[in-house]
Amino acid sequence: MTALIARCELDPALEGCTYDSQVLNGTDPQKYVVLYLQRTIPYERAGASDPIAYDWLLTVHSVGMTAVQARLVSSKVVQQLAGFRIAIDGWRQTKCRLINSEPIDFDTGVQPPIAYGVDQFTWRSDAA
Amino acid sequence: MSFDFSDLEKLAADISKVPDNAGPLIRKAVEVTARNVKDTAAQSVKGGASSWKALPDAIDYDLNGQGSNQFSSQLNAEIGYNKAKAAGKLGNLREFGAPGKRLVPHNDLATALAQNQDDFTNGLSKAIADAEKAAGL
Repeated sequence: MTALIARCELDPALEGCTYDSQVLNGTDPQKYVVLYLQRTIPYERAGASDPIAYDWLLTVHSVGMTAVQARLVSSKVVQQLAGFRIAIDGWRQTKCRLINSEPIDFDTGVQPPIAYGVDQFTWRSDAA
Repeated sequence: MSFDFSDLEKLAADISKVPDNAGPLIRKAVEVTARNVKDTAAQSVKGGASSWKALPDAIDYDLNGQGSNQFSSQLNAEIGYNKAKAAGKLGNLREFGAPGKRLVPHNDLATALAQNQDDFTNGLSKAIADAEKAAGL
């Protein structure tokens, strides 16, 4: 996760964003990014105890106070992460691939409502 | 020097018959996978918190295309939350989460799709094999 955050922060527009946090009522987050990483399917070889590969699904919330701001954050995130190859010791990774972009939506769970876009990326890790 | 193209021509002719036979079989493979993805995702949502109890029934699928080259060779299945059904509008929150409420994405549909990928590939291979068999290949 640290590597993914560091990669996002290479873009000056995303520098100083808050990662993996919650917008609280009354705060003005301006813009920030939340990353959720999920390991999906382990690929196993018959008779072997350890998986030989994993698929990963990274969901990114690109948040802004307006739809325009959220869209800007989302585009910067996509620029940084699409095609990025993460390094994990002992595993060989495919490049990070953008598989889904949801239109900007509003979360009214906080006041004022915040705008956010959802982008999803995937890659596969094979045992080296 | 000469080449005998007769086998090649026969193969080309035989393959041209395949789409006629393959369409309905491919449609079936797509539909079976769509239903499996829907069921897998619904099962995953059911296993979640009780506040999502109406959500599993809001998942359905639409199958578009005839699987016939007379009308359209395009086939696709769209699986997801039906917003017209009860709780269907909450599907986006369950699937993708929401940052203000610290609602994490559950990705039930994305995971179900990934889980059924191999079955889909196998189903398509079988459909093509059956069509080729029916075409005498």
